[in-house]
Amino acid sequence: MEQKSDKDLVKLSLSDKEAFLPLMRRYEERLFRYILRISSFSQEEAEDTLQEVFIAIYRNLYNFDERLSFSSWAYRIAHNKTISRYRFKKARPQTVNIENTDVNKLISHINLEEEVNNKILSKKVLSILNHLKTSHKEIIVLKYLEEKSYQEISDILKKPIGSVATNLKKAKESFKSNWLKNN
Amino acid sequence: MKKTSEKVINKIKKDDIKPKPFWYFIAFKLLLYIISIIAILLGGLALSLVSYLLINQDWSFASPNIFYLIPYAWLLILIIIYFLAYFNFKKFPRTYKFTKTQLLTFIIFASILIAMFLNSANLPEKLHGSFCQKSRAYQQIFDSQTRPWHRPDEGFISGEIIAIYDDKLLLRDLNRNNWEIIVKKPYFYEIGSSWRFIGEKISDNQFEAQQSRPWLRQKRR
Repeated sequence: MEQKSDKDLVKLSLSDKEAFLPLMRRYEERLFRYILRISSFSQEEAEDTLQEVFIAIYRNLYNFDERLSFSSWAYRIAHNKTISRYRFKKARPQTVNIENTDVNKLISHINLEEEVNNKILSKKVLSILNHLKTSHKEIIVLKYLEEKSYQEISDILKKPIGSVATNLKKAKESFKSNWLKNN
Repeated sequence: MKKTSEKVINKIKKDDIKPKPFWYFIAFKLLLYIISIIAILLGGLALSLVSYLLINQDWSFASPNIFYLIPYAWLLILIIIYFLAYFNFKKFPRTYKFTKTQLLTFIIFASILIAMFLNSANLPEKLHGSFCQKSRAYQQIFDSQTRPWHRPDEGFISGEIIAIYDDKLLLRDLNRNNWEIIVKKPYFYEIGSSWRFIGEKISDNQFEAQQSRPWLRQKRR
């Protein structure tokens, strides 16, 4: 079961509930981290969201389009469920949950000259990220922290690739200009 | 955290959660296709009527304010249909790959093709004529050809000549009210013909004509 591809597991899950377990195991850490990164949820809230995501994936298995990767589809559902939760709570995400290692990864991608090797700078990066527009924050998280390709981001956010590239450029510019203002 | 998958599988088993049936998604997609086809067809029809009303408008006569001659009602319907079609197309599984401009261009291009086909079959003229005959409300709202000529207070009136006297005509207007039209040469007109007049309203049922022109085509009165 563990060696089967995602698509095979999707097909098996339609007739055998147990086949859905290895599929969830493959994605639970990644999706949990992603939910935390794009939201202000506590660990418990993120876990509740993840459960909703898996149930939604299971309920919609027949709607899985095999032309997409399962990963993109799962991320899309996780993205939508997380956004729905914000709306339900009537609060936009205020803080991002990312770790210092993520901050370093982000800084190197955005071509900022500085070395982010202490907590003060990490806090600064987080503060800037938290002040970005949600759409900018999402795209930066997907590209530099989740390390998704343009095609995958396009599939997850349901936007044309051209728009993904444009939005990412704007998000980077916005991040950079905020960085320079704060230094 | 690691137990989320176990919790979910237990919940699926305990609550006997099942995937939504295959036909549910097929029915949804089918509905999207049907709505899209209807929207494109209606868009084509609305566009054919807009183009028919614009092309067949008599722009040359010392017309009322030019803005009265534009078929706003059909244009509004056309724009609404385009937006509905656009939002419907956005719900297709793969259309997110296209930009707004690409999607709208496709919708408009498809409706132009349908409008050209309908125009070649003279359908807009037949439909518009039939609607005008059957519904006075339609005529008042949608008929940008005759509607501007039903403003006697502003000096524009039209209708069918139902009697001719020595110094005046009796005209039945769009609302089936009778008007005495004072003209210089009443013998010039024929009973049963449809005319437009520019002039001045003298009283509630009298109008003094300064200019007149027949309707180019047989009107629907």
